Order: sequence, then C-alpha cells, then structure tokens
Amino acid sequence: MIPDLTPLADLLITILIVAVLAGFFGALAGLGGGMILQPIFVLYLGLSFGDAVGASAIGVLATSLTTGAAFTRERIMDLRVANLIASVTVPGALVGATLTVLFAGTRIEPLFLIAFGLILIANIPGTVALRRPKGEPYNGRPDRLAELLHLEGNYLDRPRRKVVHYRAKRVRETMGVMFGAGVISGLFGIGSGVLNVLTMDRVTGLPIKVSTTTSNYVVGIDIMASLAILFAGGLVQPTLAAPVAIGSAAGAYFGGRMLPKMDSGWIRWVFLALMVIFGIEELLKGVTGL
Amino acid sequence: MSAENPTIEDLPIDPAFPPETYDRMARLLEVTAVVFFLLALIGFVARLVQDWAMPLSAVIHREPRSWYWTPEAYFSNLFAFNPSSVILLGVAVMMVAVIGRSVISAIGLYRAQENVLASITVSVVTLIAIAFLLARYGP
Repeated sequence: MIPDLTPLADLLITILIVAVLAGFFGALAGLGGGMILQPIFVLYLGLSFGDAVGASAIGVLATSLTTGAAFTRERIMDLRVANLIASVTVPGALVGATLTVLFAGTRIEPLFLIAFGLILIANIPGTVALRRPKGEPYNGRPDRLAELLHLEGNYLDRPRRKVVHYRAKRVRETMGVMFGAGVISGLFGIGSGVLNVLTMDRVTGLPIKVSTTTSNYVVGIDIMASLAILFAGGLVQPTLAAPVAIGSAAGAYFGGRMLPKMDSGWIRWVFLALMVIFGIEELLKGVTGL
Repeated sequence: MSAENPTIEDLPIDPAFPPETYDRMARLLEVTAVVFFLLALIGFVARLVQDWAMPLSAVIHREPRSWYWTPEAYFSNLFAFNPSSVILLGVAVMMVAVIGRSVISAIGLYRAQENVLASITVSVVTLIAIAFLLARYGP
C-alpha cells in the first residue's frame, strides 16, 4: 500500500516536476528556466518571496553548470570578456542579494514583486530583438580598454563553416549595464541571461554565440556570489533547493539534447506569453500588497 | 586542416587559454555537476523518506519486537542523517567548480603575462570567498 503524501512531500514533488518542465522547455526556448520558476513559486506554490529567490538561485546555478561543460568544450565563450564582466556583475549581485535579505518579508516586499513583474515584461522586447540577426560581428578598431585587455577572439561558426574573428567595443558602457544585470540577478535569484546576452550582442559587438556562452559563465559566478549572501540571510532552504536543482539540471540537460532535433520556435512564444502573464500577476500581487 | 570545412582544431591557439585549459574547465564542470546532482538526489530522497517514515517509526520504536520488520523503520534507519547537510555539501561542490574555473582562467592569464585581467579575475574570486566567509562567520 502506498501511503498518502504528506503536505511537505506533496510540495517537494510538485516543485521537482515544475523545475523539470521549466528546465526542459527553458533550454528548448533558449531562455533558461529561472525567469518562470521564481514567479511560479511565489504565485502558485505559496513560497515566500525570499525562499523563492533562494530556491531559484540554486536552480539557475545547477543549470549553468550542467550546460556549461558543453559550451566550454566548444571553445566559444570568451574568457577574457567573461572575467572582466564578472568584476562588475559580482559586486552588483552582492548588492542585489543584500537588498533581498534586508527587505524580503518586510513592508517593502511588494515593491520587489512590482519590480520583478516589470522586468519580466521588459524581457519580451529584448528576447524578440535577439531573434533578429545583427549581421557580421564587430571587427573594427577596438577601443582603448579593449586593446589594453586583448578583448578579441575567434570561434568556429559550424553552420557557416568558417572561423569568425571579432573584437569587443564600448567596454565601459558594457560594464555599466552589466552592473545593473548583476543587481537584478542578486535581487531575484535569476540569471539575467537575456540582459547579459543583449548587452554583449548589441553594445559590446560580440557574436551571438559568444555572447550566449559567455553569459553562461558570468551567470554561474553571479549566482554563486548571491548565494553567499542569501545563505547568510537564511533564504536558501536546502529542502526546497534540492528538487529545484535536480529538476532544473535534468530538464536543461535533456532539453539541450533535444534542441537540435525539434522545431522549438513555438516553445519560445509560449515561454514569452508565460512571462507576460506572470509579469502582470506579479505586478498585481505587488500593487495589492502595498 | 581544411580551409573549406574548418574544425575546432583550426582555431588559432590563444596563449592564455590553450585547448587544454578549456578541456580542464569542462572536466571540472562535468565531474562537479555529477557529484552535485548525486548529492542533491540523495538529500532529496532522504528527506522524502524521512518525511514518510519518521513519524511512523517513532511509534514503532515503542514496540522493539517489530522494529526491524517494518519497511518504514528500516528506511528511516537507512536515511538517518540530515538531508540538508548533504544538499549543502552539493552546493559547496558547485562553489568549487565556479571558483576553480576562475582560478584556471587566472593562471592562464598570468602565464600569458596579461597581469591586469589576471588580477581582476583573482579579485573577483577573492570577493566571493570573502562574501562566503562573512556569511559563515560574520555578524
């Protein structure tokens, strides 16, 4: 006889299933699952904002590391750019996570929900913009900082069967925006992948594949920094973190393997629609909580 | 090498990050991801089993004769450890992966005498380490 599930077991298994689905479809949509995990936890599973941030951060870290090995072997990520960007995103993430620890559960918390709702909605044009091809990567004169730090590289573009050379530009502007991406990452326990990729693609002038893989590296470091603060603030519940990590990592792994075999265009649109719905719901929850 | 159909071997060698560096990083990530996944899985299953078996076994404890013959008691004994510690150990393993990857980068940059970027990388690692130490031992 199988006994009835206790409320805790019921919650943990639900979280596991949600994390698997978010990881799987997030990988297929190329958006990562973090953006929808956090709102599902807060809006539908009844987790507090702080616990949802901690659990989501663990899920993002697990996904980043699971998919990171394949990106690394392909030698597409730009380690110079990644380490430079991490120097501003990590302080940003520490600031963001500190704000969450200080204000989660207080009267200010609804403002966090409103901000997250706005960020979810603001991601839509960014994600759509990334679908439009930018043309050839920047290959002009590097700016002084890029020249000093040797921010240029090559990668193998398999579909076009050529080695592509690129250079970074507008490094100062990139670092300014990326500090903000780090703050958002720490505040909400998400990877800020869309903002990272959009900035590297449109501001720094890196090819989209280099931007995507470099973002994966940066997200890992940011989230690790955030976790230090979230742990200290008691916002990472290991019991909740385990099913999120297992589900996100397994979902992302299998989603990544399925990606070349199926047409994932419609999944991206479903994901974007979910982000709009969740964004509006978070906004409403925040406004009614004020 | 083929100019018409280049492979990853045709990429120019970066003095700071030769192919071995990328392989080393990838191996580190693969190993730590598997270890983390297993630890999280053990912690998760243990938590579920404890949740299911513990209240029953607490009752069974009062009847020593039936102790070893109930599946609930057997499993609660088997998973008689703190699942949270196992999961946190998994997170610590992931931390090793993230920090290790940055340290490998920094070593490559120092070897290529790109000292500015190497120092920046070390600073980031140090900042994360300080944050963890403060989180663990701070106020």
